[in-house]
Amino acid sequence: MAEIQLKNVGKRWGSFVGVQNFDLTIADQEFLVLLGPSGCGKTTTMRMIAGLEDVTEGDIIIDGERVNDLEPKDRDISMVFQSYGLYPNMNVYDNIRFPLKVRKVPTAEHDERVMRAAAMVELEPFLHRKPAELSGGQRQRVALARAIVREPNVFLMDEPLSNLDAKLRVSTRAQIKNLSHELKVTTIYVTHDQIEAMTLADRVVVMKQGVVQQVGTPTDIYDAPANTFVASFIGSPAMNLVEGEMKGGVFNADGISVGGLTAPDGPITLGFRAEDASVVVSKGDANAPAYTMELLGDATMVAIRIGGALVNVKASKDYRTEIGAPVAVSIPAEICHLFRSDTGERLEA
Amino acid sequence: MKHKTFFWFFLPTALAMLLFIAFPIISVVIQSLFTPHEAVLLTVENCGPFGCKTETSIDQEATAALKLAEPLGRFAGLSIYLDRGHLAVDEVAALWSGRESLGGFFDGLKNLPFYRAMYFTLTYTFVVTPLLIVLGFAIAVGVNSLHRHLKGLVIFFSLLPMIVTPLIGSLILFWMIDSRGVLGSAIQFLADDPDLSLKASTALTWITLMVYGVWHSAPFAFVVFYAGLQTLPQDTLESAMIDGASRWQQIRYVVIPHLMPLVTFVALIQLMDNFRVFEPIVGFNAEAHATSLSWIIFNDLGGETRLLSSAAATSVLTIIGVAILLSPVLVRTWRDFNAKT
Repeated sequence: MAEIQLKNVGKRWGSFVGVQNFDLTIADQEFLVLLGPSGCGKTTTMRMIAGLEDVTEGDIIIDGERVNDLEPKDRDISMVFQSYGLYPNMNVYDNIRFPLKVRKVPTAEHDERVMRAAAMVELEPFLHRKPAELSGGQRQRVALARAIVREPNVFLMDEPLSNLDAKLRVSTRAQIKNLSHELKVTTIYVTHDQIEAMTLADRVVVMKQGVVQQVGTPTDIYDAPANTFVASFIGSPAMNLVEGEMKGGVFNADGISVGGLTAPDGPITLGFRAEDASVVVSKGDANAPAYTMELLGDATMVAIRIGGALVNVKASKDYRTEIGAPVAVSIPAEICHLFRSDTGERLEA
Repeated sequence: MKHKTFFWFFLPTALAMLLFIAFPIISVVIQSLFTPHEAVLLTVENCGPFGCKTETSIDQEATAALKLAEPLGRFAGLSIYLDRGHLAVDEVAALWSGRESLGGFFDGLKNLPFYRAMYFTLTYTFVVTPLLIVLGFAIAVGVNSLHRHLKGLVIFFSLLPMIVTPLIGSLILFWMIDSRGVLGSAIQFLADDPDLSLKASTALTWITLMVYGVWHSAPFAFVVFYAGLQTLPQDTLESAMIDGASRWQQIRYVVIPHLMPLVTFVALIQLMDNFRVFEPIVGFNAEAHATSLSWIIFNDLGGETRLLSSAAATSVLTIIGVAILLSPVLVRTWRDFNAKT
């Protein structure tokens, strides 16, 4: 049971700002994902919560207690690292047992708790192996077991899936989601992979250069990105963004004209998702020659160049066209997102 | 690597090792089996007005010719190894049969030069090596946690004992413990005994020599361990912090296992080095209280008559000693190698 409050938390190294004014309350048992490109301050934020990094300003409060000056071991958290952080000289069993041993948990309980944690991540057949004799996925499961064996109040996970191959990532991701649900523990998860964020999170925090861009459920963030950065970071492919001019409710740019919009006249950024737009036979809102065509299996992705930007549109799986052949795309006003062209902020219709 | 490639790759090294390591050792072994020629004596009868006298003198010419013909000397087999100056087989046997107690037997052994030197050499090796490893490790951990602006300076001062030539270093300490030196007078003052002299007591001399040994070699261990600490995996250390390990537990469960291969390396090098202890004995003028195998070799070669064969025999015994000392590690390396292939 732990509610975590971050009150205007900031981190500076000299004049370099790592994290700025991070203000958020993470509810008990919530699965929160910190998402952003490398260097955005997401890992720093997590390390401050863990106590591995000092807080320059603001307060971190776990369950009503200010923990700024507490050692990592006194914060009742456990953490899973990207490169596992296992003890290479100990076997799997001793790795999992380590937190119990150093915290002087009565020895009689050790075996039962280690076996239970190992069972949760299906590690029983490997208990006597050294980490060097395990595959990446197995190592990460040892790290997970070591984190859950102590039954902490808070889980911190720093890009735990980044070192795994694509297939393993999907199965371990499911395992993490299930564990977090099962154990009812507040979890903070750092990643730069938006798919992980979308699939795992109760709420996502999108960060850029130390500043929080948007906090919301995956649906909120996908459907109503707060600015062009979030729009271009979430979704695969990212949201199409076209620079152009708004005049009397009609958006105009090279090769595109979309009407029925409500926004003041002047320069503006129009955004829409590839799967929301559709390829039509003729008289589209955007018309341009095909730049490339990619077969995805369940769909075909067509790219055209309009308004100086490369725009992706998802077509049906049977759609075929030649590179250079004209493509017409329908972009109804309802699917459009509008952003200020100077700050990139979302304009509410 | 294929055997043929390996052969050509390794050939230059092998040749150099043969030339600079194997040949000298073989030559020393051969020398130790020979003893110098006795001088050719010439007995001449001189008859004068007061009668005849026989005089014995050295036939310089014949002696020189003999030396030229057989430069190694007379073949002596293992007799030099077994004589009183080396393994002293007869003396040891006599001591054993005439022993009253085991302690008495060992006391007797200590009067034989080789065993006396061996006693000090082994004590020195097995006291100094672990102490310098512990001290070097402690300095490395300490320096590693310093602020980065201080590190350079502290590393420089920590390395000084190793930079100083051993003979000079031991002389400096020797003067300091002199009854007129700063340490010597301080000890006299503390013990309230104006006649106390470190140099006069065997026990204190041994302690001083070993303190010097640790002082001189700890920087080596420090440098190696400090380098090892730079590759300490941060993730593992941070895992330990979060798992609840105290500072000491982090060292015990993360840092020491990480440095273990380096500990083996330092222990090997230092066992070898300390077994050859020599300079401090000369620097401290301590031969009355402590001698070592190396010192015996030096002593054999330094006198007016150079006892080449005796020195060679002691050298061979030293090499055998080093080999025995390192054998556990060598056996382990060999086993690891076999396990891998």
